[in-house]
Amino acid sequence: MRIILPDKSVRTVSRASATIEEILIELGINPTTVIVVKNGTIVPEDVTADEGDEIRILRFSHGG
Amino acid sequence: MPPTENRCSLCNEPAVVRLVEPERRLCASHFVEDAGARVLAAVMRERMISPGDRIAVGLSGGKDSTALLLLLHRFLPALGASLVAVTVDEGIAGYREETVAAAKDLTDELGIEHVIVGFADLFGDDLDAILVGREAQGCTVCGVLRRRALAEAVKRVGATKLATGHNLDDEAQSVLMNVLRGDLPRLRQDTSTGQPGHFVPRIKPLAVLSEKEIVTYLLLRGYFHDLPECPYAGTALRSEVRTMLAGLEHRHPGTMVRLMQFRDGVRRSARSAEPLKALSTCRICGELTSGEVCQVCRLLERDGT
Repeated sequence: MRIILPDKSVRTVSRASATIEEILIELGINPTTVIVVKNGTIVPEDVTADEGDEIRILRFSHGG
Repeated sequence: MPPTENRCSLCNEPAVVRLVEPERRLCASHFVEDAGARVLAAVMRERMISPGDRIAVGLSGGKDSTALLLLLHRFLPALGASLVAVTVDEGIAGYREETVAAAKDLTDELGIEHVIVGFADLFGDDLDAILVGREAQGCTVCGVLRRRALAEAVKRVGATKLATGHNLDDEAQSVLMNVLRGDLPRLRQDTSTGQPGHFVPRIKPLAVLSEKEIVTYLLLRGYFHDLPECPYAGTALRSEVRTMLAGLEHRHPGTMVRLMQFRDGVRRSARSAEPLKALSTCRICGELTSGEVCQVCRLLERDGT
């Protein structure tokens, strides 16, 4: 799967199906601090991502 | 773990969020409706707005105040109140230009009266100049001056209340910071009633939505812009508390809401006990202060120190 990190860098990961939450935790990201877009749609973190999916992680800057 | 059936609890469309208390999944349109309904319910429950009110929205142009203006713009006509947006331009090079422009664009689009007040006009210098040699105190100095600037803007537009975009994360962080500092007076301080002649009541309609919910709301409505972060952002304690609370909220959902319930409980029980320290007026500028000279005059060294 293709993961677009908050800094817009792209990481391609070959792994079995996992929940978004598991993926975030492996990346050291707290799920409450980001919004995840799977194949162009916002999803809750207990949704599963599979090989071939694109996962975009948006970290919202603080303040404002 | 079996695959999750990610469908909206109300219409069976694909869900974009999963919420707790009550446990539910919502699609884009039902989440936008749900978030708005929770804010309106808080406004009604806490009697934040009365018919005839002229509400000044503190509009920085960032995400929280943008969401606040969008929601109040929707609700206010039905509540018999009117709206004006006020923006404080602190004068922070490379940061404020873009957010002030975002604030102007939004008020133009919604057809809302918009007034901008600047530190240079009010205090004689912009924030960048005021902070030379004390950049590390940026947030503290700016916080004090910005509160005064907002109060001044409210007077200029003749508003009866000031609405700010504080969200659940901001409020819960403040509760925990006050506990960690042992600052009971600050924990008890309730600005929702105001001080006649000095401050109008301040309301925080977004305090029922988390930062994540607000960003989701803006993304779904097409109003999220990745704006720059303030170069002075992040005092050490708030930054640590933010990280700690985010971890707790993930492992123990509902932590932030429970912190707010704790604060409200402290306010209720403390109200009948010891009265808060009486306020006097600053001998230099005449605004309210707990001492002889207010924080603004001390920060601007108007007292000759």
